[in-house]
Amino acid sequence: MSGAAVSGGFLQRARNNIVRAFKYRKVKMLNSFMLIVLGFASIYPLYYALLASLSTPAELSMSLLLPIPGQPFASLSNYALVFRQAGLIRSLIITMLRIACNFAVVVLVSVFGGFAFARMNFPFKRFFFLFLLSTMMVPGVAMMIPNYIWYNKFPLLGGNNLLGEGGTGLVNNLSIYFVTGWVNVYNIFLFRQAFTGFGKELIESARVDGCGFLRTMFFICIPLVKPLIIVLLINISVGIWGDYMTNIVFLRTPETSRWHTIGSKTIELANYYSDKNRVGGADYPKAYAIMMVAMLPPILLFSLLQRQFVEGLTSGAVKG
Amino acid sequence: MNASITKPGMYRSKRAVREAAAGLAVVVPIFIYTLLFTVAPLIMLVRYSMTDYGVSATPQFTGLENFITIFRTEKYYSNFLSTFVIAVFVTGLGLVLGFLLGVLLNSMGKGKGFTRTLWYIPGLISMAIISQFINFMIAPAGALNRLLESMGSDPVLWTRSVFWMYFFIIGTVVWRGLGGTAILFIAGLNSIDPVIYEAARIDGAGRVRTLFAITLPLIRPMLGFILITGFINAMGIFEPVMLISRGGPDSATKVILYAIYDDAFANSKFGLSCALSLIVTAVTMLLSLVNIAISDKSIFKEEAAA
Repeated sequence: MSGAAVSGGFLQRARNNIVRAFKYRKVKMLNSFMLIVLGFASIYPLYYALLASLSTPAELSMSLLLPIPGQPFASLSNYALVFRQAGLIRSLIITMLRIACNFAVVVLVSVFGGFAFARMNFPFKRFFFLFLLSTMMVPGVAMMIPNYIWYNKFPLLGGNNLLGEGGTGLVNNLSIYFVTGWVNVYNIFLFRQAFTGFGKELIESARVDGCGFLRTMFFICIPLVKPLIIVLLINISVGIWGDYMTNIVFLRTPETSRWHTIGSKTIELANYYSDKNRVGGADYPKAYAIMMVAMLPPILLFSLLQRQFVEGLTSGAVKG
Repeated sequence: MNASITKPGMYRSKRAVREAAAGLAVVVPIFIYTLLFTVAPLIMLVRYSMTDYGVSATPQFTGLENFITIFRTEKYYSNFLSTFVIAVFVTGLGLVLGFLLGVLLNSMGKGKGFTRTLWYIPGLISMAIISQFINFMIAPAGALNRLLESMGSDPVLWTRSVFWMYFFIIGTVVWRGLGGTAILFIAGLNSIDPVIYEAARIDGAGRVRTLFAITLPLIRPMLGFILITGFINAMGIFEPVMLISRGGPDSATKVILYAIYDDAFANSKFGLSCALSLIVTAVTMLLSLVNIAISDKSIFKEEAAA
């Protein structure tokens, strides 16, 4: 970029420019090289865990920077074994269900809510808008205990009556996976911004052609914001897949903790396999196999949808 | 701007009435859900922070006693301090390194997309799993100590050292968030008009000067936003503390959220936990207000003009 001569025809200046351009290219190559090397270094856990999961315990305990599996294919049985026991499949199923349910609801809420705030007139619009905006200030993390107390008293759920007495509400109740996290105000505003940007003409013309509200939503609006929906899909999947807190805070009895989602189940199993007091001693390769199960799916999903994800991010989020 | 002023008498036509009904049908359920899942816990927070809930079966109103207990207990000061230290380092390092990474990634030619993805990957792995991985690495007979021994040094008891515990907690969080921050910065950098850079170059500004005189001032609103949201998020760091240091050694890295969790579930002092949560909530809300005040208020302006 900086290679072109700026002005003047002096030989000296031209030469300087060439030298600088040459240096710059060198710097640039060095920069790229460094970024790629450091980038690979930053995903070290990924291939460490992969190699470790394919090693024998002895190989692993002698390894230094990276374990070198002698017979990687024989050790694939580690994966077969961890999948066969201890409820990993059960946990996978409930995690997938939770992602699917949450994704469906959040897409509907965000698209409809975003559209309503961008393109519709209704009473108290400004009040609702400012109300939702102000709830964004409530810090989710500090609400752990108040949430616990409230979920415990949640009316009409988990054996509670209307006043929230008699049962445990959403605490120690698997429905907590499916009824929380429906409304994400940030997402609503993201979609609102996208719909504001599209202009009225398209929706107006659909209406002239006889499209009702719901048909306009499903056949015009949702396809328009597909990149943003991909962003939601990735964020929700990654978030729920890795969710640890919901499990350990709200599902605390043995009957419910059997159903913990992957984010907590994999930690529990990794601890179990790495415990040296376990029958048969610690088996680190299996613990690392468990960690691979926890790490890989979000990365695969992201790599598959990466292009649309970046498109979605740059189309909507950045304008704000 | 589309005319969406809510004046009385504007819902006269049949179509406008129908639109108003549809809008309310969408927004009212969202409103009710938010009341149930965001506002109700806030009420619990304030209400139970003034009780001894958990200690006695039927919570008694105790006024400000919980807060007085907190202000008189030395360990809570140290909890707040370690939260602050971790948050400052996580935010500061994250911001500086994320910006650097963003600038470097942005100036890359070939392989930009690939490298960007590479850096984004740690952010896709859950905090808990990364913490567990670090935990395995720093175990007494873990990979890190084996490496030290192979070089002839003595093994280190990492979990007994305050410095190393802070190091690993902060390092884990910073490293995991780096790619995401860089991508935010890339978006910000690309929103700057290239003409400005061209003009600066013609005026003879060097690369360093361009960075300080043009790039940084132009992305300042973004810097503020990332700084404050980063700090708020950093105050909620929990998994690395729970899984790597368990608050140790000797509660040196016990952050406030971990103290809240402990007081509620280990010591069953829910009232006290709520009081602590209320303090944290107040601080973060204050920061959010600062954030709104300094960030560009387009979202409010737009709404006010609408």
